[in-house]
Amino acid sequence: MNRFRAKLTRAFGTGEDAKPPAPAAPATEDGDVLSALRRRVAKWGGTRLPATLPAGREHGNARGSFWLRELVLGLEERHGTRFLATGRAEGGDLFLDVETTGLAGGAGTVVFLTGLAFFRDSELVLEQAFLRSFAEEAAALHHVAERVAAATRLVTFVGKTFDRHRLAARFAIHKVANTILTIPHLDLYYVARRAHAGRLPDTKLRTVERALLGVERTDDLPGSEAPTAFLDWLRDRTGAIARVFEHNRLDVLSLVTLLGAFPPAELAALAAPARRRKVSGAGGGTSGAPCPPR
Amino acid sequence: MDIAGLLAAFAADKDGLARIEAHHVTEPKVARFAPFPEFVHERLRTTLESRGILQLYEHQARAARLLHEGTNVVVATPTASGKSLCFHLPVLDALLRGGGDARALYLFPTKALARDQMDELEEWLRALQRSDLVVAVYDGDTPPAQRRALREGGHLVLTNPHMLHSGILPNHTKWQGLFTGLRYVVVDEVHTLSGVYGSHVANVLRRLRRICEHYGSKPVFCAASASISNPGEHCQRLFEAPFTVIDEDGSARERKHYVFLNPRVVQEASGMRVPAIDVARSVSEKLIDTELQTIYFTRSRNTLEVLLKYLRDLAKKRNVDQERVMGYRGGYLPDLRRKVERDLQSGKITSVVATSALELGVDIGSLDVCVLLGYPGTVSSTFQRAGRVGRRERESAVLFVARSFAIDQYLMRNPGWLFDAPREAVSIDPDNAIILTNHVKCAAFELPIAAGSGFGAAEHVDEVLDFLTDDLRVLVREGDRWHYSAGTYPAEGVSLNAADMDNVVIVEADSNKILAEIDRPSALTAVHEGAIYGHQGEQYVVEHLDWKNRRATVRKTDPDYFTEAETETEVKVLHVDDTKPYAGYAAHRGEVHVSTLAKGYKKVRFYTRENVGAGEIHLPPEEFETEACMLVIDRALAQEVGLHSGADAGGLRGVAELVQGLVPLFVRVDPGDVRVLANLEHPHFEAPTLVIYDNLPDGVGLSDRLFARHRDVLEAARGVLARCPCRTGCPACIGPSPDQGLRGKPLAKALLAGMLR
Repeated sequence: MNRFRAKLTRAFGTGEDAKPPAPAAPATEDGDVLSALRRRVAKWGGTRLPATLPAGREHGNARGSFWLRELVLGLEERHGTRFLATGRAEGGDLFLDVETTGLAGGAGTVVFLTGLAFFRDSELVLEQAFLRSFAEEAAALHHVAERVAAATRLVTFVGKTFDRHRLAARFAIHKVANTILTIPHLDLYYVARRAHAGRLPDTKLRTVERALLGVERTDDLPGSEAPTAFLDWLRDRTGAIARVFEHNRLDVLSLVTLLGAFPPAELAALAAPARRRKVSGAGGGTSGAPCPPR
Repeated sequence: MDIAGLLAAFAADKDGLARIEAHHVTEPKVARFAPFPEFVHERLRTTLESRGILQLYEHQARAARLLHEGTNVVVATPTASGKSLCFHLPVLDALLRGGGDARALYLFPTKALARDQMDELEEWLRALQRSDLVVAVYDGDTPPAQRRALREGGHLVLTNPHMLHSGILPNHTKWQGLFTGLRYVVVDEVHTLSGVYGSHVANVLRRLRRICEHYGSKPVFCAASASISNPGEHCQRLFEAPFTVIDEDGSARERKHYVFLNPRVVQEASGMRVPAIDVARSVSEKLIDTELQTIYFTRSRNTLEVLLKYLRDLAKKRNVDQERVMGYRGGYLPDLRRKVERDLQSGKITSVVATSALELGVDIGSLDVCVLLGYPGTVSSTFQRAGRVGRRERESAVLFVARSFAIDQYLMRNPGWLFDAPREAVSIDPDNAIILTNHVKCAAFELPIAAGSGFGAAEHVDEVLDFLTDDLRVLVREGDRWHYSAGTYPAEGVSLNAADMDNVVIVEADSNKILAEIDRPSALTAVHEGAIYGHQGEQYVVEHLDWKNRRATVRKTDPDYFTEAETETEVKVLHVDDTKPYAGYAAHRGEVHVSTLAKGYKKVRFYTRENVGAGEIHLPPEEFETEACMLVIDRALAQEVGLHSGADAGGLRGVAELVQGLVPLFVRVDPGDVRVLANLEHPHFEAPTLVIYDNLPDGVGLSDRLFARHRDVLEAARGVLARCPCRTGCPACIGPSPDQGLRGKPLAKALLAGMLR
């Protein structure tokens, strides 16, 4: 245990991230402080069960490989009370919803799971691109960028201020060419607000899907717990990561079916193509209005 | 009246409040010019010519050429020598040729300086007919609606280190245009980036360079500094790159007079003199109705407002427009400060009373007379203030009015010292373990860190990364890369300096309008209930202070007094982590709780300074926990040198003062970063104690290093005492005898000898 490390432990031990035990007696050996701190940190974790990922496969592309879960769903299948077929519109919609390491924003917030859905022939393809490690991020982003490039419209819920920008930041960091901020975009949050603001207590996704789709989630992992689940997975392959996949799957299916649940007039009002902008280099950046409740 | 007339009037004034101790003259200097460097864009040259600038000063041409060639430059010439043109030229040239992609980033220490420079740069772009180029200030005052446009399209972005740290770097993906096209980074007033604050900024610059590398840009660095003794060394540490120093001033100066005015002694026994403010007031009687533009520098906000009231009273008596006499300090709202700056430039204001807020490069044009109320504290600061006067075509004068304090009196007796002494050195320690760790954390959030890639020139980076990974668990290591993995925004938890703390707003009761702001620690003594709060020469009484909501309500009044509050600082030992015994004393390292309490205030009558009342202050103390190194004197040694409870504490206080002065030589800090308190009977140790503590929340390991090196400091203190020729103490050693007592110096000597046995 060297002196430099001991100094750091002393200094940061009092921070919120890692409370050291209040020294009952003055610690004379640096090692005492650190080992006590380690014991304490270990205790917080408790015992966690080993986690397994939902069935999927390693998928490779020009930037490496990542974990891809692919579900092919029949159009006659239901989400809540509605058939998946009801979400089908003209052209190539790409439904997108991301899970991130935090809600703080900024360049360092990582998208660790991207849920995508699109119609192919008489099926709905639902893909979940997951990072088993940070090293897989470039490949996963490359895949998402390809899907976005192939689509004619992006459909999200609060993607205008959240999902698109989290992806844009990570695209920029990994220098992945993309059209995430230029592709025409329909944000169903604004459609819901326009169509139902007065009639529903709020227009959060949970509320809207319950009212319009009859979706009742049981045992849903709150979105706020997704970051912890991912960190548990990264550190020691434990925790609730499978439940994040499920949470994300339901979010994406709600996107698909909500699209058909709004009156066409409300959609038309908001479906104007996105503003064309010059994008410099890989990615391009923009900010957003304050984030609506997610 | 001109300067010669003014000086003659002083000389003739035999019965005045002060006498002239010395008169030092700096001789006029002719300008050294140089032609425009060849690289300068045709349109830039014609614009300069249309403004009557047909050639450059030598230092401007040289700096601009070096920068254009890609050399990092620090310009350390005096105030008003045309520093900003040195960097505006290459920057504007790059923009004119850049096809819209070239960018520049300017960092200023204050918002006011950024606004000031924005106006100037906008004027440039108008003259160059390039309205497509966008110059904008990005700081806390920038409306959110404008931020996005600025991020995407700002060619010249003017900001401050704090905003770069917490707003721009963590969101670098939104600033790709800036970081991809970044050609120049200009950092103004680098001498203010010292001590703990400067160490933080050096790390912010390490992060900036990483981001630039990611986007493939290699900006040239340009720094501007006041005259300090080590501008080159300082910039090399700050930017970790080679720098060329330009400190040969090519601009013209007329003759400048430095007049040392010593107030008369009013009380022989104590050596008390007429207060400097009274002398300044009598000086103003000679100046107020002349065309000589005068700036009065005070050392405190309170003195500024009292003097301003006196000048306003005088102006009224002499039928001088009140608008010609104004104040300028931090805390005034930006609009008011802008107005004062403009009116000084146009000559509408003839007298301005200012604090150090006007020491930095805000453009107010050159004035004629500078009155210093007391020694500003450093040689650099003195000449920064003196640099506010002196026009090309007219003589100017600096009137230094001494206070009774030792250092001022020393300078009255040794005026040459001011001109011969080396300027202060600025020093930083970017590798301070705690500061470094905080910024490595921020850096990892911005981009993953690869093993062995380092972080600037910092040592121990891998250890820091391991610590952040294993102990704080905010990073995850994968193969040879560290990734940020916490859900938080790390820059939010890292403050570059305590000045980021929340302000108290001062609201006028009748109009419900915000009058001014004040930082929280100062609010304790300035806007407690019952305080008289001076603002632009008007007096307001504080009716209510809502401490929780940081809001003081004041009402205009016309009292015949002002208020002065007293504070008391107390240091409690929380725990001792390490102890080392020495002969005669023991050194301890541990954590302490520092609290500063405003106890009460006095009402002091204007002009006469009679005490006309008092009041209590009921406010919670300003408090923080920090690290400390404590030197506890053994009973035996205390007895031996005559240091015991109830005794004259001067010797111990003297040692504390000496140590405080010497600390910056041993750990790279600002004098204010470390405090030393003397306690004749410390409640925790029950013995005479010197407490050396980091003067900021949580500490940054300064006293920890002093725990290891304090004997070097004590040794240096003993050396200073041994060499000092004075008999009973002077400002060059333990402080003057009126403060420390006649036994102070021998006692301090004996104590140090005992401790170093």
